Amino acid sequence: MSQDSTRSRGSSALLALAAVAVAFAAADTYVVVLSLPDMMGSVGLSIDELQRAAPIISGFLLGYVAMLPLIGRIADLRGRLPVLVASLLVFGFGSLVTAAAYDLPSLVTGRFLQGVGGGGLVPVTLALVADIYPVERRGVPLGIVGAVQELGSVLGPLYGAAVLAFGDWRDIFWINLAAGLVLAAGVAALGRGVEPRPRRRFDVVGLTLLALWIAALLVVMRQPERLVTSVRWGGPFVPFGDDGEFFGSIWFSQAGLVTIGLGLGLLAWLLIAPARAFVDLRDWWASVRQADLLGALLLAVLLGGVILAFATADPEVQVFSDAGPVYLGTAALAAVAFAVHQRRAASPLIPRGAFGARPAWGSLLVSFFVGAALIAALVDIPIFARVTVYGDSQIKAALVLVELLVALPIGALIGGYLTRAYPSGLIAAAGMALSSFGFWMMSTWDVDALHHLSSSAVLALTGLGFGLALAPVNAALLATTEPAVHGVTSAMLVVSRMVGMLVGISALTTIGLRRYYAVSGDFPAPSEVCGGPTRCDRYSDLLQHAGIEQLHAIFIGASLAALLAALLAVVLFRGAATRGAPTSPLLGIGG
Amino acid sequence: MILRNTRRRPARRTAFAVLGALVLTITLAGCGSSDDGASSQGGDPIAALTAAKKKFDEASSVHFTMATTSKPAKGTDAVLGAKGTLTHQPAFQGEVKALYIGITADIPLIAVDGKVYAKLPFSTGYAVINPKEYSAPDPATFADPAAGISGLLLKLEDAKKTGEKRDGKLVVTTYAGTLPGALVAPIIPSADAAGTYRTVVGIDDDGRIATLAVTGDFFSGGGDVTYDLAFDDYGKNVTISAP
Repeated sequence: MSQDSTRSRGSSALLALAAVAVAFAAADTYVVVLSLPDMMGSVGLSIDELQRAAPIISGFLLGYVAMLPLIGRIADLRGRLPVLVASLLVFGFGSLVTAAAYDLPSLVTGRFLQGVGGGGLVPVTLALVADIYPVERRGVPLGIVGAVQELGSVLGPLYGAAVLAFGDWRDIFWINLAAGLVLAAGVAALGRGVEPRPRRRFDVVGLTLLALWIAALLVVMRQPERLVTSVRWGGPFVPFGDDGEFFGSIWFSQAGLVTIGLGLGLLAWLLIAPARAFVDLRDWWASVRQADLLGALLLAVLLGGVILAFATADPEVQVFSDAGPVYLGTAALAAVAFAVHQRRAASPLIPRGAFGARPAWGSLLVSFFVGAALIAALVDIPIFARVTVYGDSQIKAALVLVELLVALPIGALIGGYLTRAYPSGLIAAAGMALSSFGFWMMSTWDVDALHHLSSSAVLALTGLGFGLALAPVNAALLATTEPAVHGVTSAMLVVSRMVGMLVGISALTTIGLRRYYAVSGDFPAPSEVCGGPTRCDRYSDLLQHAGIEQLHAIFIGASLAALLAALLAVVLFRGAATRGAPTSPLLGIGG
Repeated sequence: MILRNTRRRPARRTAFAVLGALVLTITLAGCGSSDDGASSQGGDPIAALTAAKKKFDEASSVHFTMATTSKPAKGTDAVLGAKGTLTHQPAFQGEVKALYIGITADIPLIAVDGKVYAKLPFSTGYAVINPKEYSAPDPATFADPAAGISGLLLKLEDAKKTGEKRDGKLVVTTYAGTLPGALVAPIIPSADAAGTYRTVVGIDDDGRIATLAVTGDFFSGGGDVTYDLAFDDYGKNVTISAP
């Protein structure tokens, strides 16, 4: 009896820690929005290449979403604790790769790994809730996990701004690495009382290899100047090929190959001696195979194809690069294969018939467009602030976004109450129409718009609109699906919103820029504008205005996405019996 | 008990085999680096620098890159780097990385026949600009034997040979000295004309300028900032023409 109560107390503490980790991972989705201009500069991107920088955000979302089909099942097979610790460690490793990134692909790889780790946390934490609480008492804790996730996304940009106030963008990810490791250690320590398992022996060989590999990885990626310019020690860092060639990559140097060798050595050790290694990779792999690996891979190919199709575009010329249709075609094939796979799988991710009712699948569709619009706000409003009035203060640029984010939970509460009395389609549509109007207003903002109080009103209105739509969309889903599948269907709502964000940030940026170039045509020569000299305030204004115009194009896109969400909600939610149904206003705002 | 022991042994043996292979790789890698590329460059720094200047001025073209990892603290405009090809027409074709309202932009640039053509951000074609008005250098003058990069070499004060440094595949002999800001400003416009800049020139085995590092206060009061310049692909047959 008393042992039981300490176990449950341990579980609650574990859940609290897991919730902190979830908040941290959620913060990480948006932590980059302020440092995006700096990160672009660090990896050699120019400000008019916004579409190429989009994968810095969408790469994280890809990892997050692609992980979901796998992780729930793995957590069932292996227990919550190992999966939680592993997710945090992968998150930490992704942070390390991001912090040490030397070009765009390495940066996006790091962000993807961060997403994989972060994405693993959510289903396991939800499963922990299910372990600890009986069905009828799960509402509040689930709501708290959702709220914590939302809190993370509010704090993310602020946290990023706070770090940028005294460091550079790399410091954000070094701190993330430290936090990931501390949380992993905390979870492992707490978990010992909850899920007792035999202690493994200290694996000298494996851990030595791991330490050497990570050290080598850091040295090769960061290329410390003292080392690489040393006549004696710099030789191994020189790539075999020339700059720009395949073999000119930093990995095709002696040091690079040693790093790869160390990595393979570590892998070999883990596979050859699973009983002695610090982690039993074979056993993990077996669990991954038992989970829906094919589903996860197909989903990753599908979303990765979409990201690449838009990211490789040159909006000055066209929406897609020559390779664009190939990427999109691959994504379409993966989509078909994923659908077929879902139909044939013995235990599909989404139970068959779960989304049979129109409001049920409709809520997924609406969520998708809500996500697409929301990401435009989260990414492009801070950039607007930095381009116009707060070029030198990231904190102030972050606070502009906060004006929108504080209104969001207020809207969510109001939406929750209204949903009890009025049709959900109507309220969701009203909310998204409000947001659509807000974006439309933003698309008319000029250089000093943020100095006027009216901009705060527009931002608050937009946030309020997003908040209003949360509860009715969720209620429409819950009212038209079986209680037994509420867990997985609610999760799908979040996934749908994240996929919307991913596609939104990719597509809106590229299509918006293309539209901008198509409409604005070409600039006059500076000497024409200035009447003689080649630089004058008028020309600078023109340039700055062009920078803002590309954001305007994106805001218009977001406005249309929000409008579409509103229309879909009106049409598709008709007949959903949501009135009087008790729903927690907090439930499902995560994402 | 016995069974467990025999099971463990192969694992241990493989572990040693793996470690052994790794140690071998690392040692081999170490061997590659142990030749110290002892390039004797002659003791007289002035002679070496004069010869390097001559080679620079005689080359039909030189590819160069310029970069700094620092940024001005406040949102002032600055040139953060450049890469491209210089010819003695004099001309330049390449890209200039500029900081503009707190945001970096890569600006394609062609300088030839005394005119500078730039493809400014958000425009689709080249326009003639006056680089002075953009507090940017006219990169064509980089190739000028007197006011350009090679001219700096002879004006290096207290030039001393300081040792050797690796620059990728090359090992360069370094010469250090100082330059007055007025001479640096035509290359890096944010230089303070009244300031003094520590300069390290790296000369390769063929006696050509390979690297040039200029350190000093470039962003008014922001502390030491280093601009690294690197030169390669000497003497390619390049002709640059107006866009």
